[in-house]
Amino acid sequence: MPARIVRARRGYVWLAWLFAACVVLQVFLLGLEVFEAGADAALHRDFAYIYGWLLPVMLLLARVGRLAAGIVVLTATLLVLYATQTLMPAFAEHITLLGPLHAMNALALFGLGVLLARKAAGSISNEPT
Amino acid sequence: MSRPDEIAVQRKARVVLAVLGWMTVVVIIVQFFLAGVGLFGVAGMETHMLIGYWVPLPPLLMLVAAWPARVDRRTGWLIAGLFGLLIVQTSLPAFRDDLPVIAALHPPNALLSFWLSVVVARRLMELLRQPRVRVASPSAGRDRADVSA
Repeated sequence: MPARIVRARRGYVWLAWLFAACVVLQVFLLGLEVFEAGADAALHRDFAYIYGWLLPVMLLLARVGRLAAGIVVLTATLLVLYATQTLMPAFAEHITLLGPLHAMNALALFGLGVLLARKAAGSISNEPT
Repeated sequence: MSRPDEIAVQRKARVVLAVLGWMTVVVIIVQFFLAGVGLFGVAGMETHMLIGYWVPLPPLLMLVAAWPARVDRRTGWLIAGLFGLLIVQTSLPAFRDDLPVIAALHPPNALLSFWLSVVVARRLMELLRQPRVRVASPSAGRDRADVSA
């Protein structure tokens, strides 16, 4: 496998794990707000706009690294879920179900991030040397 | 207990384990939903709190069922770890007045609990699919023998 492709795949794996870690950090920021440990809602909200940029880069690396079509599709799905996640709170006032779905979607974001990191890592180790 | 009886007990215990494993995953997802209900003001947090105290019960029952199911050591430790993590989860909010930063670990710990619950549930499904069931051999000189289920 060309070195460029291996590097792209490794980069993808790193970013996927970083994304999952950022989701964990984000819910911690929520915890700081909910349990009144000195953070406000803006921190939880604004942090999301920082690490969301990992996803388009992951999509790019998935293509450059020629990862399996399933991984590319799931990465695109993750991007859509993330975009939806950022929009849900704004509409939760009008559609009450969106609030609880926002919480559940956080699970999906974390789970999919971990799944993609492991699948991509497997694609590196499974390639013949 | 005869060997066929022992195999039957192990099989049933493994089915129970798999059911409890996935039940734990579902309950955690429901807890996330209920947390969202409370956080967005749809209703209060009472249901989330009430169910939260019972969430460690399925993993506790899994620990009990793990012995007749004869799970491998790693799976046993993963179940014990999941139980421990869920006990911690129920305890974290109690720190909100004295150590709110510790209480703030409640949501991220929930994510990690979810991850571990899925890992455990998948392992238990693999255990269930195993064609052979390990039983304690009564014959001298052998501690275990693989027999067809």
